Amino acid sequence: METGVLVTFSIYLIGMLTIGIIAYRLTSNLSDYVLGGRRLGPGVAALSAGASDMSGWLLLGLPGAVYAAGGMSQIWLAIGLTIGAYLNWQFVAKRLRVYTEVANDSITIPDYFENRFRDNSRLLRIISALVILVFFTFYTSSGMVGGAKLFEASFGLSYNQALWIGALVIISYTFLGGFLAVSWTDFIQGILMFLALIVVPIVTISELGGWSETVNKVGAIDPVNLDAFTGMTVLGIISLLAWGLGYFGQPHIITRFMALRSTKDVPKARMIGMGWMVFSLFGAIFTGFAGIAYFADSPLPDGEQVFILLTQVLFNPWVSGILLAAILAAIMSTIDSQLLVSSSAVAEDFYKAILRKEASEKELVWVGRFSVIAIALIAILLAENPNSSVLGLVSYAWAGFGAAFGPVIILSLFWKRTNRWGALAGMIIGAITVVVWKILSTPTLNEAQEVIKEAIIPFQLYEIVPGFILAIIAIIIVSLLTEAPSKEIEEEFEKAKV
Amino acid sequence: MSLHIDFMIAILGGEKMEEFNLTGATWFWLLVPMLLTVVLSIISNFTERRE
Repeated sequence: METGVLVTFSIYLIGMLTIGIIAYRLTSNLSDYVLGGRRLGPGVAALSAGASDMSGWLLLGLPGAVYAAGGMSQIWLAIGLTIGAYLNWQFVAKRLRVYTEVANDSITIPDYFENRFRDNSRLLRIISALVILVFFTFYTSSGMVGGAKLFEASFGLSYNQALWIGALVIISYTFLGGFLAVSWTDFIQGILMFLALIVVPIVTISELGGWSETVNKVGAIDPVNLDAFTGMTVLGIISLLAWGLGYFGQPHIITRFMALRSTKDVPKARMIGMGWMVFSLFGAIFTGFAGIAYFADSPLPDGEQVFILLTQVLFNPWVSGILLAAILAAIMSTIDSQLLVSSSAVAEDFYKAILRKEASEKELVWVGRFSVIAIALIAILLAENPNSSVLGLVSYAWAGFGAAFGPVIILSLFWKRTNRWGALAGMIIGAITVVVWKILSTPTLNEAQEVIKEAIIPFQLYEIVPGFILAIIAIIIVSLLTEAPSKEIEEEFEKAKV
Repeated sequence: MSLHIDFMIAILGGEKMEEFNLTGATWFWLLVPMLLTVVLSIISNFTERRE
């Protein structure tokens, strides 16, 4: 283990803990703990949203996928994500910020659903909070597996040692400082990720002799490396673009909109956020791309190592340590946001709303803190078996949240006639469609991975597409077939218009 | 999009021409939409601030 790598990693981890302690002193009520007291400036909100969104996939998965044969087809995913994120900032951010405040100062998404629709049955809150709690626990666990594997490979620790060390750092600053700690650490982590994704491809391309040389080398290995169309069907391209639809319903991302200090900051946050996202995605794509040329003579058995190997080969250990820390930053920035959203669901949506309405702010903050520990422990226990099939549920999460929450969020903000029955229907139909569509699209395989029974749906289309569409239809039809919202709700809708 | 029309013509025109236009279309789609969102964000940052 290189000293340089160890020292830079340690400085990074100590820095995160320090931020946790500072945030602890600024956290006095549940709104602070869960939403930073709605005090985030545009830069922090933008990078926190971006870093919470992008996990290890950005530095490992995406370069790895581009590195693999025919990898340029991944650009459709990057384009789809970018457009989705942009539309989210453009249309959802401002209105959600205002409406959540107008609707009884809602500090979580389930809170907002219940208040927006005056849902006395509490079903919207309970179902959405349960979905968040369950899926984000798995998501957190899956992130911890990724972090543990990285730590294990980088430092020669055992998997379990790596798991517990990484988890302890994340738990500590999240436990202490809540949303403020999570957002500020996300901000630093986002800067680290961005710098790494700019520096690595630029240095690699420079080592290869410049841009034209790189492109020629990559094209000479196989022309399909420069081609995002060959081997792709129209449905395939649509499926990749459709990942962008997920943004409107991801709680750990849209809470950053709710936490902005002012709607006046939205344009600046959007600009910073999109700049960060686009150039980070370019950096990831070009890392994989340049890697094809760089490792032409000794192709990598595991493409996901391309970023790590380039940092080790091209940079001294001190710089390499910082670049490796960027991968850990990417993973941690997603885990901490998901962990906090889950604990917020426990503290605000179950404990305060249902169990103890009269609980003091101090009590609620501590409930939030101990939920962080409890949820993290469950996530760690799940992560102790990295091959657990339970973790496979994560593959439903992006589409699940996207289809179950996205249409409800959008229609709740823009269509006055949406009512609680429509919202409930949309949530349920969106979620069920995603699960059923995926199951029906998966062929049955034997142990040798051969198809023994064809999938019922004969074509491949990312399940978020039917989920999103059917959810919207369900919300509209059910809302129109059931009682119109009250005058009070309609007036509130008008008040929230920006 | 003219690049796509070129692509259709290129299918009749031979392999090299097709490769060239696939590459051109790839770079176009990779760079233009994503950079456009950044440009639009920058523009709207100034126009919305003026409002």
